[in-house]
Amino acid sequence: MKTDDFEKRLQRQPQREIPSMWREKILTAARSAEHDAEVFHPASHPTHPGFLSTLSHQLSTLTRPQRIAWASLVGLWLIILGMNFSLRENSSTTIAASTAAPSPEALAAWRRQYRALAALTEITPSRPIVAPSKPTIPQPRSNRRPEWLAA
Amino acid sequence: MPTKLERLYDEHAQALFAFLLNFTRDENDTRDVLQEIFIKLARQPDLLANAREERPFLLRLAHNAAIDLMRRRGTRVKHHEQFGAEQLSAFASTDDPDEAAFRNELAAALGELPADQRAVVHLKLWAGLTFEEIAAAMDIPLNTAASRYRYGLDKLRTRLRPLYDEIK
Repeated sequence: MKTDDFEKRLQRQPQREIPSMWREKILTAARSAEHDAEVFHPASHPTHPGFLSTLSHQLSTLTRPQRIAWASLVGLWLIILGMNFSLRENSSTTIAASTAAPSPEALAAWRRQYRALAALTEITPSRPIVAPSKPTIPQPRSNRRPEWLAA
Repeated sequence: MPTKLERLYDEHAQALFAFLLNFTRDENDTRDVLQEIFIKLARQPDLLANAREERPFLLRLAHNAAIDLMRRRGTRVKHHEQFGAEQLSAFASTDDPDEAAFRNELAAALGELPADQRAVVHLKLWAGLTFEEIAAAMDIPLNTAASRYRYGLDKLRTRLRPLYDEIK
């Protein structure tokens, strides 16, 4: 048995015909899909919409199926945002109050406690007790550099 | 005047049907995959724009879609491999008893081949693709396509030799 003869014999075997009723069904399904694609993706349309309208369309396409759910979500976020802002205002007030200068009574009490602690630990304060200094604020640079260069 | 989809269907659906029926061994799967291909073509009208030739490109789509379908259905792949031979014939019926016997035997022998070999044999013998086109369609090296064809054909020859010699 030659290979060529065998192959030719196989090639001559007629294939089954595709059922004729499939044509309409398959093409109908394809046309329907084509229509859906045009509805949901009009960007392929010959007209060229602007960026904002395209964005708006994409968003509406995205949110169309569950409008109520999306609206609820937006409302919830607005409430959370409002609460967040109101809490932020209160907390900034608290922080400002806590950073105010200590009262004279509190300072006197602190000095008494410091002396008592020094007496207990037998440590003589090497320098006068003063209120804690405020953090230094950077001052503008002087213009003495040219004088140094001249010297 | 037929639309592009209608023209594609009229020119290529028969070849795709024959390949898919031989590959999947299931008429429902064949219809599903064929429909999936035409839906894809409808949604992406430019899909064929860069194809050198339509037929090999569509057969490649068909092969990939059939593989995807089989993977989705998982366990049915083994079912196709093991029992495909007994299920259906991809060949036309005939009144000639010798031819009918040969076609039945051929269908059974094809069903016993691994799906990859069966696909290569079909694409070479009945779709008329070159090994280069088969390699591109199935995403395999050229030598692999040729060797699968040789192994597949050898199995068919061994299986069909007695019947072929008798009715030759």
